[in-house]
Amino acid sequence: MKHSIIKKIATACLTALIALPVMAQEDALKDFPGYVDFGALSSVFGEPTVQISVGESLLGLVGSLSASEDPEAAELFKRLNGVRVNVFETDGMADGAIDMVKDVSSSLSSRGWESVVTVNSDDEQVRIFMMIIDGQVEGITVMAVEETEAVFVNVIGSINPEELGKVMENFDIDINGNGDNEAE
Amino acid sequence: MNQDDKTLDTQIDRMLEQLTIEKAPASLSARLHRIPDEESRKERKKESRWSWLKLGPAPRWALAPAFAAVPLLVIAVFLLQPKQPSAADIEQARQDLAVAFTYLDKVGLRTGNEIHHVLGDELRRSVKGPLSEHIPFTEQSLKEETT
Repeated sequence: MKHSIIKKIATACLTALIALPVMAQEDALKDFPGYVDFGALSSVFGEPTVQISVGESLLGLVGSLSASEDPEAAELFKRLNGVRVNVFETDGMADGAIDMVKDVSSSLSSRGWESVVTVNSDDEQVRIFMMIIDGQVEGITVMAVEETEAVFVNVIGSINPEELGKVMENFDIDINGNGDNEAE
Repeated sequence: MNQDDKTLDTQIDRMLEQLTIEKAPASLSARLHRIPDEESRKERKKESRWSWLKLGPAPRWALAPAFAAVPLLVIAVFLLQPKQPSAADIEQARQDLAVAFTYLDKVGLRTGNEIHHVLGDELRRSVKGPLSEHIPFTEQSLKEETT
């Protein structure tokens, strides 16, 4: 009995300690105007198949290291504060997915995010938002929910959309894992 | 024991008998008697003032969390140290960024196609519709396109 209580206390403390750096990184990003809290995504879509969170320090290092190979990308990375991606594989449109996208969208609009693209169809919901401050894009948020996949992206930092487009063209990743890239 | 020693002993005994114990004055005796009482009263006062600090007898296992806290504290200090990312971390971040931007591109492309498709349909309807009322062949081509 006594040992089980001690074990529980130790486990709770250890869990809290391990979670601390991750929470600290998320907390640091929360202060930026381009940060978006998507809410409890896993409660609607389950466990993410892809989860990426790259913070400011790593972005800076990647930027510095890729300066010679890709100066445009390096310049972009140096001005970014964070990149967060959550991808969920779904089997049909998840229950509550459309409502969730609408809720987050209205919350973003009320916080000053500008809606750039909205696709509203039964089998596809896409929202692209930009946080623009003094004519400068400070954040981009993408929510794309369809029957097989739900993608949530939040790019935080000073972004030049034209520059972002050029950088995206340079990436050629097979995200489907079958040799053909839909992005191409 | 010889004769001289015996004489000396009797002499000492006699001298001791002659000694009288002088009594201490009554006030001093009273004051000396009061000292233990006063000391114990002071102790009791001190105890009652700080009694709220005393937790009572603790069981031996109560020390276990304290001992467990020591390695946790060491781990906490280690984890909270600003960690310098390794080359592998940077490479991983680079790949993560590539995947992130590929997803962005993918969504952009899909959305672009959707917009293009909707706009195309709408334009076709809004431009060819009114035209077909006046020019019959456009109505035919519109029907062919929709079928």
